[in-house]
Amino acid sequence: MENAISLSVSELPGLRPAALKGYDRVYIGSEFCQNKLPSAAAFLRLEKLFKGPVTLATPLLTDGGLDQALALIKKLAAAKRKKPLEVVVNDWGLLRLLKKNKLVRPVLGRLLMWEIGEMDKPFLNAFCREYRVAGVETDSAEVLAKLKGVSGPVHFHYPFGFKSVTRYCSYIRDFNSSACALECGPLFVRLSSKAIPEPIYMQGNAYFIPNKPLRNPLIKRLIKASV
Amino acid sequence: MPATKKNPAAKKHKMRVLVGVRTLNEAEFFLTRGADEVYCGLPEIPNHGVTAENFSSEKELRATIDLAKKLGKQVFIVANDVFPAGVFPKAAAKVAELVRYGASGVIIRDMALLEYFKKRKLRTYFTLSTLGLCFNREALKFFKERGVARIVLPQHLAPAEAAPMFDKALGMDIEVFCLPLFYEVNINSLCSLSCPCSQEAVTDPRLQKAYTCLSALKRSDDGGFYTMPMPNSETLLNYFYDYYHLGAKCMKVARGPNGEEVIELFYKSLLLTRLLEKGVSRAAFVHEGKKIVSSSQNYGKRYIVKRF
Repeated sequence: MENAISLSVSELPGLRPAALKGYDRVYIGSEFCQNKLPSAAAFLRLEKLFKGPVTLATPLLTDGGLDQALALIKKLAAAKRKKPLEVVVNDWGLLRLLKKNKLVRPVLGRLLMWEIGEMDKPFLNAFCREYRVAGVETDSAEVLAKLKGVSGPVHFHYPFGFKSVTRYCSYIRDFNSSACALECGPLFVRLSSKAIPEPIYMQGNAYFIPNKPLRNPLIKRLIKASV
Repeated sequence: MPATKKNPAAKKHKMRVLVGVRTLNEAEFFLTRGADEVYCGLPEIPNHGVTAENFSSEKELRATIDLAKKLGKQVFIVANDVFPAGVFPKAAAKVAELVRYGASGVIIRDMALLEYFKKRKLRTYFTLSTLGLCFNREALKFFKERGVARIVLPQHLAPAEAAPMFDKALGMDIEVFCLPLFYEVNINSLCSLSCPCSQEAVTDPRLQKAYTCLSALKRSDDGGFYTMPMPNSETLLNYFYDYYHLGAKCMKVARGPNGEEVIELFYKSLLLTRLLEKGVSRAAFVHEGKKIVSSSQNYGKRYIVKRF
């Protein structure tokens, strides 16, 4: 079992190697907001600091966001490393653009988990071969059960399961392709009300509920969100 | 409000009007009052609606196809969910059967369904649902390569962000919701928060309480209250204005279990669309639009089941 930690870009300044001790891999970027991708320099610094594999997480992207993400990936892929750069992809457009880039291995992210969970498995496996998909990600026991029959490894996120996302940011009061100063930070804020069945947790523009890491033969990697 | 560059070819065009229906009566009502197209679901064909948003019989759906043909209008079959393996063969065969019978096209989400049609050399007009997550022109090409001819534009895009997708060279028809009247607070296919639209047979009139996205939520960090953000009505009116001028081909009125509410939504959406087609200025459109949409977003009554 591979153990990974997922960091937010706002945690990078002042990050110490000790914080990454015990992990086999680090995730950096965001599956939910295109403003939270690292710079190429910050990513490469993290690789140097960690001395192990670093995965770039990417969200749904607008055309502008797609251009930026692609430029970032091209810079990162140009750096020498033993294995291709791993990129968590949550956008069909980015997946299309990476199809022929042998320096990159896409992983299908959590925003696509319901899509791929329900999908006809022979079709999904052929699709993953076509796009050289290295794995699929989830944070849900329900989706995990549906992934039986998928040919690649499954990665599982904890201690929060994703519940919802908006592109309309409550901090900048605009869609999140507008400039921002990352006011949202990496913290998970608990939100509660008698009107809802259970408290939810907000990080930036996404909402979550607590979950636990699962043990399952399909799961080859656990990814812990830094909280 | 940043104006987007107008597409000259899109000026003063007529937008097709699409309405979701659940009965032959509803189809007749809308198709004889300004709708060009209707879309219909069946419970045995996986789709994003609750059961009460579907037709109760295939016979009635076929009669709706017959009616649309007679009126020179169009009927789409809604199959906008990923088909689980257990029902795929039967459900896909049912969709194909309805297309052969005369349905004008299919609203889809599942790429495997597109593959099913391709393998059987069945051609029809495929629309990608908003649930399909098409947020940029590369994603649009991704779906076009698979046979999609129209996309329903995601609600969580500003016109300036979506403008590249309207490029005529891409050859994709673009359908939009009447955003000032129908906007979902979070991205619809990526939301599993507690909500009446994810439940069946909701009869409790105190529905408002169940909408997480509309509730005032207490924050743990500063003790204040938080409500999930969305653009205001004026912004959404501007967006609708921009989408028309970018060349949106079709305006969609979503189906719902409450027939009266869909009628209200239809007439208001039609009024806004006709204003755009008259070529009014942005300022005039927003001014008039505000009056029209003033009682929009009636979430509480949307999921009360009322047929007509």
